[in-house]
Amino acid sequence: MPNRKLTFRVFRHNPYDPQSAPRVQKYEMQETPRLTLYGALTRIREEQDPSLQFDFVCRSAICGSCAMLVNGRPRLACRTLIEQLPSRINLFPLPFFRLVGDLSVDTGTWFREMGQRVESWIHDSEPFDPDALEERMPNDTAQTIYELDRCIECGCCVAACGAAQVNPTYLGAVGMLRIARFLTDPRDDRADSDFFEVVGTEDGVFGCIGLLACEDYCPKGISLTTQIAYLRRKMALTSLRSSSNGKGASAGAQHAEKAKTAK
Amino acid sequence: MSSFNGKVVARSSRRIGGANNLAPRAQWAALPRTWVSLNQVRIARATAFMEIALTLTGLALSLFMLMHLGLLFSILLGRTSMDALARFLERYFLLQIGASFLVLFLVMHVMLVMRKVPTTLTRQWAMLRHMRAMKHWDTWTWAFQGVSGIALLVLVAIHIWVVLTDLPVQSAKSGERVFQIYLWFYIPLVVLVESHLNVGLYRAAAKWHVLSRRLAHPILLVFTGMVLGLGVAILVTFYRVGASLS
Ligand code: HEM
Ligand code: SF4
Ligand code: SF4
Ligand code: FES
Repeated sequence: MPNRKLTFRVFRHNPYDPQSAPRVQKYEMQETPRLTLYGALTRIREEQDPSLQFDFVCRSAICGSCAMLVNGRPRLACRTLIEQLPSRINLFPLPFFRLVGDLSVDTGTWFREMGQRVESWIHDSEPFDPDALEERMPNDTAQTIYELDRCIECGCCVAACGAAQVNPTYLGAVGMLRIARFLTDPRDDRADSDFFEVVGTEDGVFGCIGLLACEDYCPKGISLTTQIAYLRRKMALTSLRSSSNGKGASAGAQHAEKAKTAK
Repeated sequence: MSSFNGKVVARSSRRIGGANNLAPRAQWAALPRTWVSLNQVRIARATAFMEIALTLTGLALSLFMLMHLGLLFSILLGRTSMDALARFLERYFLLQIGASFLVLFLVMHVMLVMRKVPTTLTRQWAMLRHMRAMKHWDTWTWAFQGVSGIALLVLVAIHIWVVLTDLPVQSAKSGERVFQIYLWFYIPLVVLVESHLNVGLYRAAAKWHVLSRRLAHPILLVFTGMVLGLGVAILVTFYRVGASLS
């Protein structure tokens, strides 16, 4: 088996070069045993075309840099064995993210924006005491948080998501995962309703069409749709509660309005 | 204390104030900052209601269809039982009441669903390209829901019209209809209703996570088989009734 002739059809384009137009370039290579897609790309760059751009750092599915569309589906190049692919392999950059060149995209900026949008840090009103012992939490909770924190920010879930393809401001499965992570954390003071304006919208859970692709293509196997469903139920309940007590959500918004005019 | 408590207010005003100047310009950041405003919270809440209502109308329609199937089951027991049942329903105008609710829920269901369907050509194109590239089963089920839904809207409307303009319901009339050209109308109607209903229940179960997908697959496969089998059996019986009368 590992002796096929491989044909790569690779998307090439440098958006910073006005002369460059998007095109597909063909590379051929003989298969060798235990070759990964990352290995094959490195060989192309070393032996055939030094100008080919693609990202990698860790080569062991930890850094999340090397995600790309392999025959249409988002995958990590370093974690993809060539022997599991057909001999004709189409490579495209991840959609949705800004193209740096060829197979390289800028996921970092988007992930930073996402982190700021969901305020991806512990919100704690207590003053910090560096000498105090850390508060204990149940082991189960710690395990759950650990599980939700395994995300490597590769962007596969966003690239796999149909909702994200038609809504550039969509928060993405990973954004919702992040919120679920902080909602689970007992050290974070934020309540369900505090997330409503960020995730109870069409850019959040209610924009998700439930295609489930995010979970199926997450290379770390994180239960994304379970987390989204968890948020969907929480946000649906929040909306019912806030309308049954009459003032609810709008009172907070009025304060926000006041803060704006006061400034 | 309201559910949007002091903390949120603090965060919101922080956002309006200086801290967000740190944010690099991305598309969402370039949006006007009205999303903390009163309107935005109302829209968010309306969206939540629509999400719940979509599932509820889908469920209501599914229950209606199962009830409809249950009533038609009477033809399998014989023509007299179906005719008796039809007379009973018509005596109390239950047929007209049922049909009104069906139309009401159908219209609501379609209006709620449209929120998620890409409506501009650019977006439809992007979605189609995405679906073809990904070859992902569950993504295609959504497209199936959209297409089968539109077909159903037309077929169900015709069906309601044909039945309600030809009251009272009688097994002889129904049989003759099926025996004639309407067989080719009812086959796609039955297949589409049952598959749309089952795929819809599967998707709703996954969406709210009431069933794990591993469990949902076999359950729905069996359920679809049962419902489709029953539908076909009913159609065959009507066809026989029609054939014996002509
Ligand atoms: C006999 C009638 C119908 C039944 C029993 C039915 C049932 C259902 C159910 C149970 C769902 C799942 C709800 C959810 O996702 O929360 C659903 C979804 C859907 N229905 Fe229907 N429906 C019917 C008619 C229609 C019609 C006439 C249309 C459109 C024109 C339509 C379009 C859709 C679409 C696009 C979805 C997907 C929504 C989603 O999963 O996000 N349906 N339907
Ligand atoms: S389930 Fe939601 S977030 Fe995941 S791929 Fe589908 S639409 Fe996107
Ligand atoms: S959730 Fe999974 S697919 Fe999404 S960015 Fe994290 S590791 Fe990648
Ligand atoms: S190179 Fe780090 S995940 Fe592939």
